[in-house]
Amino acid sequence: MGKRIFLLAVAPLLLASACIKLKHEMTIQPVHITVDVRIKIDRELENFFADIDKAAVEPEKGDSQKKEELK
Amino acid sequence: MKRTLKITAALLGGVFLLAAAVQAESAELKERFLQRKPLLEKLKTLEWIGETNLGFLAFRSDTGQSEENAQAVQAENEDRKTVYMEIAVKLNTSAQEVGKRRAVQIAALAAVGHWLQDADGNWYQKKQPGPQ
Repeated sequence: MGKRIFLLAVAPLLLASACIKLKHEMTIQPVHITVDVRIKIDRELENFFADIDKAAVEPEKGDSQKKEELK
Repeated sequence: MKRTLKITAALLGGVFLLAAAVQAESAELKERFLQRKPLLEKLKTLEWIGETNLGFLAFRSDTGQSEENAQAVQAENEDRKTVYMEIAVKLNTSAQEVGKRRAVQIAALAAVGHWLQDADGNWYQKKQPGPQ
């Protein structure tokens, strides 16, 4: 009799604990992946545009004057 | 045996030719970017065009939209799109994400006075960095 009561009392607790979901693992992983992809994208972009970004452009005479005129 | 060797050689040759073609296309793209750079920098200095938050150029108003300028901006954006798409395919991501990352790099490299778009799409002018 005592055993039965004990089982009836414990069963709902066991069922409730089985329903608990651990969500934190699911949220950490995508953030890590996103950062990883961004680093890779940045590296690829730098590889391609490095020479272009470094190429100096001499300002044409009169550009600043023209700008002032427009204002 | 000879046939297998021939097939292997043909495949290797094909791969080599493909790699050479990709390399040549990349070099052509870079050359076009460099050729357009002086004109585009001029248009940025004149405040006619700015850099969007998606890594593309845009006219800020109707001012300066001559045929030559409009063509240069369009060609630049098309070539940028090609680069973004190539990187996106390589890294299994979207071209838009690549463009957004490029916009961040462009903003960091931009000259003082050039117009840029923030993450919300608002235009702002790059200011002189303050004292540290």
